Amino acid sequence: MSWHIDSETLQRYATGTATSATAASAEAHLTGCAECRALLAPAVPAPRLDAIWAEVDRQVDLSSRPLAERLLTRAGVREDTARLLAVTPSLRGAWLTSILLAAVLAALAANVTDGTGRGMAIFLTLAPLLPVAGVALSYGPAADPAYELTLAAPYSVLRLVLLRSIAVVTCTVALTAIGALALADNGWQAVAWLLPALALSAATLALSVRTTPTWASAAVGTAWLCIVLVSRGSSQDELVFGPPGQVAALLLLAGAVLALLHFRSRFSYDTRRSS
Amino acid sequence: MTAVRVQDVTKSFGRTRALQGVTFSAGVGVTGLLGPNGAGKTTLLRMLATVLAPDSGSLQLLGRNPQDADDRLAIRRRLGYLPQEPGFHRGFSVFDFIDYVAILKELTDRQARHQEVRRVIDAVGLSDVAGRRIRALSGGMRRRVGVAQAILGEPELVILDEPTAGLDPEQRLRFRDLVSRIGEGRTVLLSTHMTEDVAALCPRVVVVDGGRTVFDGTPSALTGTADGRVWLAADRSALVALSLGSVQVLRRGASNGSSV
Repeated sequence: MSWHIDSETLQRYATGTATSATAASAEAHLTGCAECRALLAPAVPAPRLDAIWAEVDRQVDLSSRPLAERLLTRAGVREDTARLLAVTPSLRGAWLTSILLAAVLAALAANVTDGTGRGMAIFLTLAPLLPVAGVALSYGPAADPAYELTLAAPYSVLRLVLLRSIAVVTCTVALTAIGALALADNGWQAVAWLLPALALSAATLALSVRTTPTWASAAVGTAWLCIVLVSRGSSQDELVFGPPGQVAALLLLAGAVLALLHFRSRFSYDTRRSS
Repeated sequence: MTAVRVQDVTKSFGRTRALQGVTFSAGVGVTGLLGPNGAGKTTLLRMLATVLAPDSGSLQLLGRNPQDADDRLAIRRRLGYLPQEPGFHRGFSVFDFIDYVAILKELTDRQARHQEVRRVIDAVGLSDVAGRRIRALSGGMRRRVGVAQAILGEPELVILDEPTAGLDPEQRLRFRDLVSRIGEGRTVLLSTHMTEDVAALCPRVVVVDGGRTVFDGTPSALTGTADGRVWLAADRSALVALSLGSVQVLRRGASNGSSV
């Protein structure tokens, strides 16, 4: 190299005050001239260097993040929270796709057998079970390989459990609602699954303070199926899916939320009965 | 300060009594927890990691009571823990997984967190594979990932459950080096099957058998017998057979230390 950048231009480039044309030509020279690079390094103010480094770190980090995390961040979720959410098995694409498929198929089945009312009952029985299954796979030893580490970490387990299960229930309910659009019957029954779905999910969470989410959801799911079968056996469908059932679901929801608040500290320990 | 105080702690799972009154304490440095399979080592360490609550007895960690919610949070902020079977989100890269644990450890500022993640990855010598997915790592490398997350945030109390399990002899040597560095100025409790680990690493050793502490002292207080594999506590309180890969308590409270 026969020429070098004069100290004034170098200073301006280092502090980021050079015009873009000057900066471009300085940059072209710097890539080929070790001498000028050596002069440049100490001239860059430390805060500017830190800011540049932070931005590089951020860009590299963002581009390597999985799709789910990027979607969550774009939806306004904080990047650290997004990372904690994105590992949830029941928030993955494959799981959510199968939920949508199950809801649509149940709705189509309901249409085929319509007239007898049996089809609608199948949809209304199945729909509340979908978020329950999602909650079972939202945290705990079966869903989270790092469960043991999570317990020993200062991050509130209750907060993590609520974050994940609310995200799962919201997604599942939204997908089920999309599935319900395929129902031929658009009467009030098309939304009769919503309250039971929320109530059963909350009950699963409340039971999880004593056992694993897997067992809790199995217990809640079985209880729900028994109630539905018994009421069908005695031709009392209206009791479960009609107004009395809705009121009962609302009470269960309230009770489960209260129980959850009351026993919330138990999430802090391993909830398995044996080890 | 004595970071760990365990007094008469018991724990049952159903009808199985895993711990039947364990008492010991540990301060700065590496303390080894030795015992046969099923002795209750893991149950004890899980309690010290605040993951399990004792049925009875008292537990004090870093001067606080883990049964109290506020104290427990304070302990967890100063605690590092490597479980016996650390689970990994295997699709994550080494960096991303440790970053995930760092978030759980309340390192919310991204830049500071990433700096700390890089520091621990470097400390366990995994910088070259930081971008590799965990499922593509060897067992020994995964162990090191486990140790790396345990030292995030410079914890004062570090619990390592079987950190040398499944390592080849050369890896084990490097591991001892790492653990003794971690033990400088910190309280480290580690359980192991390997008597060589204890002899090389631990100024203190606690032997647990049948849910009870049967020996508590320096490794040299466990005196060797003829074949060098059966050790007898100097005070003749226990006869402990230690061989490669296993520990067997032959006699508890042996009064006249007869040979085996």
